[in-house]
Amino acid sequence: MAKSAAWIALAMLFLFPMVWMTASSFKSSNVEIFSHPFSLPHGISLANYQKAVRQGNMGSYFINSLWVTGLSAAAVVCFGAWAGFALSKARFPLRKLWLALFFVGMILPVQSYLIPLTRLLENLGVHDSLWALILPYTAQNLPVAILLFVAFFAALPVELEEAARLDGVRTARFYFSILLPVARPAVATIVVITCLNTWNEFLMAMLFIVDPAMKTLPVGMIAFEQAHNTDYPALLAGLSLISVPTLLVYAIFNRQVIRGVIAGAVK
Amino acid sequence: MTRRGQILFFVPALALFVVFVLIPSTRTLLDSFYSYQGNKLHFAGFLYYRYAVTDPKFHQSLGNNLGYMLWTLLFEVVTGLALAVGLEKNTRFNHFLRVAFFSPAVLSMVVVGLVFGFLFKDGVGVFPGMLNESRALVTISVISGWASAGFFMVIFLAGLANIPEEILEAARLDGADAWQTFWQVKLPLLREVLYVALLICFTGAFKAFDLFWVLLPNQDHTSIVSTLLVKEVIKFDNKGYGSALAVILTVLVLFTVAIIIGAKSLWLKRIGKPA
Repeated sequence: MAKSAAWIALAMLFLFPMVWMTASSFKSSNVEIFSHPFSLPHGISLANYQKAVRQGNMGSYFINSLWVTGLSAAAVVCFGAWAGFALSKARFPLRKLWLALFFVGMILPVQSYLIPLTRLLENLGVHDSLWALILPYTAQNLPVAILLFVAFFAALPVELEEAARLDGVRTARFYFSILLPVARPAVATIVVITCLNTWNEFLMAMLFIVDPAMKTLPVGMIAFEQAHNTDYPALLAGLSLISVPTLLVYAIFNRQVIRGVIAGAVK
Repeated sequence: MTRRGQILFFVPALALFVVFVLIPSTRTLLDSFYSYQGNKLHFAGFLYYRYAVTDPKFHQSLGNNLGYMLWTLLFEVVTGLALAVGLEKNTRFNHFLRVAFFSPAVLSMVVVGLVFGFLFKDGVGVFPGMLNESRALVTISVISGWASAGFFMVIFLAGLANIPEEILEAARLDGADAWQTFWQVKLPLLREVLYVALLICFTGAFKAFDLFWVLLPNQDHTSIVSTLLVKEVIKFDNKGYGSALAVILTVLVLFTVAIIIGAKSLWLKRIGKPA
């Protein structure tokens, strides 16, 4: 009994910062937060959330983040599954070399390629647009996806493809109508890992985006903090707003998230 | 599938990777040997590397990286392992607790930084003084631990689930208590997972950026190599030195990975298992 109580206390301690963030986002003013930092808010009002959206530009940051995350995840799954399918064939030319290359790519810190990317994105004419994030995010998340898909496709029985070939199914159709549906668990895993990574990414987003209209949520929050650093309830409303989607995804897709974390880690 | 079809499937991913990761990484390496004056490039040789060796800011940053590595080993990995061992049984109660411990791991580090900044920063903070010179590194490590211990717990839980029931049963029949079972049965069997956890923790300590940047924006004494290099590039426009620091960081990460993989294969050889 005492042991359970200790566990519950520890869990409360872990949940506390998030509960505190959400509870404080409903408080009416700085005065209420600073005079009673750990009391419950007097009433539930969405005024701070309105403020965060209207004055803090949270609405446009949110939409930018949705586009960047959605398109990056779609591209990673699509290109990652293609490449994984190709590389899962034992006779692919220079297969070992490519696998080693993507393994190194997975380990490389973003700082390895960060500095020259600014100029590259300028030269490509995508500087200060959402593409300046979507392209690097896709490239950055591809190695894990490829290695995961290679492992997944290589473990599928060879008979699957042989039977399809005997039935005269062409490669593209085999891929889209047989292989992809089978690969659903791997796809879910990659979507989860990529979405969490890109939704929360800060360093590249800070360096590559100058135009306030193109900022994503994490960078937008920093801008909001610097501009409105006196309005804490609104800031905390904004922070809660960023966190809701990932916490919600975790709550709903608990199993996929956990599997994604394990697969991404063990790969 | 035809050879041509295979290659067509492979090319888009390879092209993206080469253009946005491989070429820029090579470029960083080249840039670290040149100095920029306006738009003109001058070959500088090892100038920036020699400068790094004598730069007290770099020494401090590297020291902070190593300190952070050791602290996060405790607050992330050891804590995660303890949580996993404690919550190993698949009960409803444990399931709820696991959710509580893992949930901070899906938050953006920017959110984590701003929320804890509110609690700890001097002036506004509810608990001021936690981020001053002597405590900052430990405080940040504790915050990292809060955010990531659940992640390591999940990896260790997966490892624990793979331990065959018969082995634990045998230990029980031999009269081993929980403590002995952990040290002599579970931990050795978790070795593979432990390597992965160390790999993620140690490389993560070099890759860290967000939390340091958000919580301690203008303090030199708590800079790490990654924040130092970003500062050199965006504040002082010193691309050559920034690139050299990026190369050093990359080498440190690859070196860490090589050591851990080396240690793992050495161990596999010793117990006679094929790698």
